[in-house]
Amino acid sequence: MNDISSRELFLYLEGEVTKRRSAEIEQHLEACQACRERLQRRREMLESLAEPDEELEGVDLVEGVRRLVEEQGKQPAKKRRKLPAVSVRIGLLLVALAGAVALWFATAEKDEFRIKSASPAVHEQDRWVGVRAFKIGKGEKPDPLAGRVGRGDFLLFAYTNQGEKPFPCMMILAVGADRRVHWFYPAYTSEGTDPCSIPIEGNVTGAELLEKIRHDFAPGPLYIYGLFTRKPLKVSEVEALIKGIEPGQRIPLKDSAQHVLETAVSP
Amino acid sequence: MGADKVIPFPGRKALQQGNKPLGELGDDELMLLARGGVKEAFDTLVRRHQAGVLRVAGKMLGRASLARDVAQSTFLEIYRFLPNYHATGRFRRFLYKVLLNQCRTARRSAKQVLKMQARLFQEPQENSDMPDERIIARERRRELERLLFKLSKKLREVLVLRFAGGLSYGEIGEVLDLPAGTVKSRLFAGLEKLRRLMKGKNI
Repeated sequence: MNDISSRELFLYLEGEVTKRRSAEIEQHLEACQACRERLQRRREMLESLAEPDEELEGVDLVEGVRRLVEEQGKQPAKKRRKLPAVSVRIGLLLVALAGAVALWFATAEKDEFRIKSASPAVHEQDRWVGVRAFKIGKGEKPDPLAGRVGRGDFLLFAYTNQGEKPFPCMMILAVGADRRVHWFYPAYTSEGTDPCSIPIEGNVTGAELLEKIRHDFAPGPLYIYGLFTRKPLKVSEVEALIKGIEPGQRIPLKDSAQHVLETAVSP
Repeated sequence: MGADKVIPFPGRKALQQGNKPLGELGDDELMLLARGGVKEAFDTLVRRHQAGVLRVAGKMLGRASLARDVAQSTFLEIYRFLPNYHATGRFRRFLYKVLLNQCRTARRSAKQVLKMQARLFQEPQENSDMPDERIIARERRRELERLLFKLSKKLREVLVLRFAGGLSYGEIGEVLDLPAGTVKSRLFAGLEKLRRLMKGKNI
């Protein structure tokens, strides 16, 4: 056997050769001191790449990060202005509520969740996706929207993403009677930012999204869109498309699947 | 059609685990608790990932003090992102993506680059208390760091994330928005080039 190439020695160190080839290499290394030395030099090189600077060894960032967070870390509260102020108590309440929703999902009848009916008007891809919205009113108990949502209600979502080729990206937004676009996923509450679709799991039914979100909707009809796409879209791109359609109409996007929930906001 | 499954819900999981120590919770669960105001949860995340973050920042920037600042600001960015974080089991990829962006921003400052180069090309300080083996290892590492900057950014980032950060090919692909095959080819091209540079220096 000839000497092992340099590239193959690296592949061997990275465990990227087949078992059979690995055994051949080991056999050769036993007999060839030159290759053993070459391997050792490469191993040392990889170890050096992984070594930290001695000035950084054992450095603890916790205190420094805490200080920075106290001085400059207030932005999250501003960004998520519709969410309640963050505190341990509310955080735990959120967790408890989320748990309640999870339990609710687990016990719900499966066929309650939409795999859209086969109407000729429905795009083929739309059959395999869906969003489901839940409202949390004063009772703090999540309920299905059932055609009506209160102005102060928080909303929670779950999605289904099935079919032979599930979608990797999703957005959830609502268009109100005043034609304002309200964003749920991605979160979009800061002017000057332009966030993208969120990544989602494939082959899931009723996958729960984490946050409960409240917006100030105008009374009247409200259309909630679940928009499933192959590539991430920017908020600005989708808003531009929505300007050209009537609320509730399909967003003109190729290779997308959409689910529109029609509801109404109580005055 | 694939089998139905329900994504594990971190909040519920964290709740079920009751009094489980924070150190035993996953990254997503800690992020959720941190969002709920549990400061110790975020401290635990920092403690868990700081060594890797510092190693990567150190190799990307070549200066310990700058690396430390960048590592801290990375965690600050993660904290600021708490309200928008989606728990999909990809915390590490998200963390290193933010870190790499922070490193790129820091490196764009010409002043910092000049300082960094001055530090890299300066003669190492002798430390008589240090054993010979450690001095040799330190010199080898410093020379390697200097040679790393002779690689293109594309190759350097892959090498640093793999060996200093310990990320898998898939994770690197997600951090850099590359297919795993491209990550691999860049990795081995980078290693070969670095090896040739080292050979030229008789290291």
